[in-house]
Amino acid sequence: MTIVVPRHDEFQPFGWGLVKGLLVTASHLVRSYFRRNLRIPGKEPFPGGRFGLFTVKYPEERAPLPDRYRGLPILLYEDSTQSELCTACMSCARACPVGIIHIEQGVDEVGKKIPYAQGFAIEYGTCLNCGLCADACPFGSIVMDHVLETARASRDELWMTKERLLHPVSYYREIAPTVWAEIREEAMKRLDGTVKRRPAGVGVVPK
Amino acid sequence: MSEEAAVHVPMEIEDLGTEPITLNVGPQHPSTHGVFRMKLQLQGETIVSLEPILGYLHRCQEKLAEGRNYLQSIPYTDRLDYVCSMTNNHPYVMAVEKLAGIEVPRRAECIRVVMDELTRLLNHALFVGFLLNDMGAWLTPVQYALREREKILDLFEMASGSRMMCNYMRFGGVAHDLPEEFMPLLTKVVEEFPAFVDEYERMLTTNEVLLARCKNVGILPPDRAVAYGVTGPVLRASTVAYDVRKVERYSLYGELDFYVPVGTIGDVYDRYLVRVYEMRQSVRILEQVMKLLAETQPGDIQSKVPKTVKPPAGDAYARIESPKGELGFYLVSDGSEKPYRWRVRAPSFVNLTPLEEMCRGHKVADVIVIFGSIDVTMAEVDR
Amino acid sequence: MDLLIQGLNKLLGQVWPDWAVVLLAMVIVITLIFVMAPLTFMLLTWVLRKGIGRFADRMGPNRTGLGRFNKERTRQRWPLWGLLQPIADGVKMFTKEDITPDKGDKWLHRIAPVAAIVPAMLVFAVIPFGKNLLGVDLNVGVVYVVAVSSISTLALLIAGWSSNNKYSLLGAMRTAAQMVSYEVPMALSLVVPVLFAGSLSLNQIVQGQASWLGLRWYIFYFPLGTLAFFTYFISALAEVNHTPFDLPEADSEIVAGYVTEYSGMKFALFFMGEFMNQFLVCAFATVLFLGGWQGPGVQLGGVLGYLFSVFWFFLKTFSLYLVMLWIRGTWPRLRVDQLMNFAWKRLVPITLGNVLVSGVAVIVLSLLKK
Repeated sequence: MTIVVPRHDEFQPFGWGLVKGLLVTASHLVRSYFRRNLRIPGKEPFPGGRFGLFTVKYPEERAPLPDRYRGLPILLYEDSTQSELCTACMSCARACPVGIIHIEQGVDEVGKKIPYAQGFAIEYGTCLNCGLCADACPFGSIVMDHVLETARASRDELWMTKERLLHPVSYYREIAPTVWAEIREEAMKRLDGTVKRRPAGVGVVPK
Repeated sequence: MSEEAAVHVPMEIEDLGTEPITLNVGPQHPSTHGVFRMKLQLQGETIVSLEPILGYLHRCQEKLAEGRNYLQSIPYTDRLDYVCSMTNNHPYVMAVEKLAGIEVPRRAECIRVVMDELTRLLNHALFVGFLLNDMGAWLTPVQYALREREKILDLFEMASGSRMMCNYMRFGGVAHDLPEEFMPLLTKVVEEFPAFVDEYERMLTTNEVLLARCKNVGILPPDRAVAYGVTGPVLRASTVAYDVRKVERYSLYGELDFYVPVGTIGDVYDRYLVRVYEMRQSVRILEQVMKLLAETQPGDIQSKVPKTVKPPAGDAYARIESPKGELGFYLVSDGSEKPYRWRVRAPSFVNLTPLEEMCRGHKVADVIVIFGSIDVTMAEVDR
Repeated sequence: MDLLIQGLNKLLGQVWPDWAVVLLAMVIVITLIFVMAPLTFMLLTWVLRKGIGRFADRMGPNRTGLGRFNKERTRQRWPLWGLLQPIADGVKMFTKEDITPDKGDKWLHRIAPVAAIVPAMLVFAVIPFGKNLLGVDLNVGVVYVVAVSSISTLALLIAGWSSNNKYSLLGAMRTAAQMVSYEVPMALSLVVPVLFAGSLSLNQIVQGQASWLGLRWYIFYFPLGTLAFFTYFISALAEVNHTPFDLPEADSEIVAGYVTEYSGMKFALFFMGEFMNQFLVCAFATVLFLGGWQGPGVQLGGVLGYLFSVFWFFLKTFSLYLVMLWIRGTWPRLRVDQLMNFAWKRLVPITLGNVLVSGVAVIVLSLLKK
């Protein structure tokens, strides 16, 4: 079903097309003094209509981030037992397109591998923010944080080791409740099994 | 204002001893939509020849994809045409689904069409804004267009997690289901967008300065357009009614009802009008898909796919109507988890080829307008 | 300045000789102009940025204020709506590195900004800002303004040539062609109020428009005065390189036209010259067509009358400037050949016809009065 677009070839006297444009901008100018059209928590949750100022006075006002927002990856540990959810299964390292996740699996006294990440590092500088690591993790331990201002003064600060990556589950539950609700059950069930297979005291985050 | 002739043959002023100058519209330029270089030969202000030089944004994406498995290449497809990331994911996942024989559930198809059409609205709004910016209306039409885009970008952020590099479609469906705030917002966007297009048209479509700048500038005859392999709104403005959505009827487009706008002459003004009309048709498609989406069950968004997809050996080509033209992915698989060949048929690259023919005989100021009207994203051209 | 000389004579007439008083008056007026012109420029840039922002549904600059932020970083002590932004821009311009192209003509490159700003300042001396408040009351004021303001064309040509850059050269050539072509309709449309007033002196032209409710402003002399106003405004837009005729500095085609190779204070001087020219064109249109400083309240004696006249003058000029801003925010720009086409094929015949009919009308009216 094709349609030929009309070309407005007719002549308009007195430059009426120009004047119409001027009237449109003038209406925006006048109305911008009477209305703010913003995405700020507490005010109207979404811009409506075409008129009004739509500037958000950052950093004093910040637009809200949705739950699924993909910032940079973080690791989670459970609040009550302070044990880390990560089992060093290497799924995220395998899933990452740029290969910036470096995991070293822990070993117990005998030399057998245990479900604990001895070393865990992510290069924040190269991260694509794609979220494939969070999709791949079966234990719900690596998730995407809601960070926006990620600039650092030197490149060394972008090499994130495990202490800097660990966040409590309550933190993630607060920023992304719907996402956590989806992975919570599975994550908690598997956490029990993981804790059982670790030697005592291993994988517990100090307070 | 006067109407200039379509092709203005430069005068030969032999007795004055004039010679053409070479002007380099260089890679760093405020309005070449990315890094693009043109070597212009000018006789006064009239263009005698134009040589485009590409490759400044080459990032070896096709080679990189050969070293990663199929799922890991999806973020790379986002970065092909960064303005429309959802429509970049779509043909790629379609190609893998063709290779591996994966079915897509209905709800996922509906969501994919919604995202495609929203991307079309995004791209065309940006196009119109920046066409006006290239022509000299200092940023006001751009801001109106960007403000409308903000609403759609909020929708994307809600669904996929990111405004620009969405990484949303997966093999056999989409990554996550739509959150509950999505549908009310989508309804609001669909209600308000036609008013925005009306206001834009009121401001611009009959503006005499725009008409003087755009009419009969950069005409591409239909036979030349087909010969160059041009697709998308540029082809439709040149009176050839070819839309991949109507020809291939991929995804849900076989059931949807919309018009395909076609131009009369094939100049810059026609391309602008075609895109504005396509914006209205996209809103119409969205209204229909929203009804279809309401009939599906939430939750059924991805069919059962192994974690690492290993399609059988063979090749597949899948194409969609992206906002810039026909975007196609040609995949050759050797049975392993990494592709043997990963090839992108980028619409901007092919649409750039008639640039010299369209510009010859016009002035320097027209080159920018014609280049802007083809709607190129250099990331797609160079990959 | 005559007013100032009279005042100073009253103060110092007994002590100082005449020539010293005149010299002091001249020094005062020159200082006033040198202070007022950049201040006007600053105010105009502020209005521009805020205005264009509001047209596009956003605020302009709003953070340059005074005083430190409070602890929560929510408010400055005196936010000031960004009024200090021009000062911030000025500081920025001063601290930028000054680059002169190596292969270009160095002396011409240095002279060009100066040559662009001096004519603008020169015109400030003849515009009546209030009742009898003008630097010099020339009896050929109109001719002086037109002549002096065309010197800046030369400055732009010098700038484009000396930069050793094809973009600049293109910009300079376009500028020269445009400004020379639009001088003709501009000067022709200026003849109409001169015919109505019977004098070339700006002060006399303003005083000839004294009337109740502004009915004798030359813009209301339908259709001749109105047509002359519109043609003057359009040609003036082209003279000051303003949208829709801002091809010489077309940001999207030729990077920045003739100022591509300028940085730091030299660029600031060009910028200043351009804004002052825009202000002066609006002021000139006010004086010639909109009654200058006339308005209710100027008949009062003493300081109040002067204050009212200055207020009305600036109100009218800024309204015209806002119209220019409005146009700047809305319309795209014309191409060079369309621009020249418009000047020579449309405006020149219209203005010529206008002058002819006005001349005949003035003669007929004066005969009828007798």
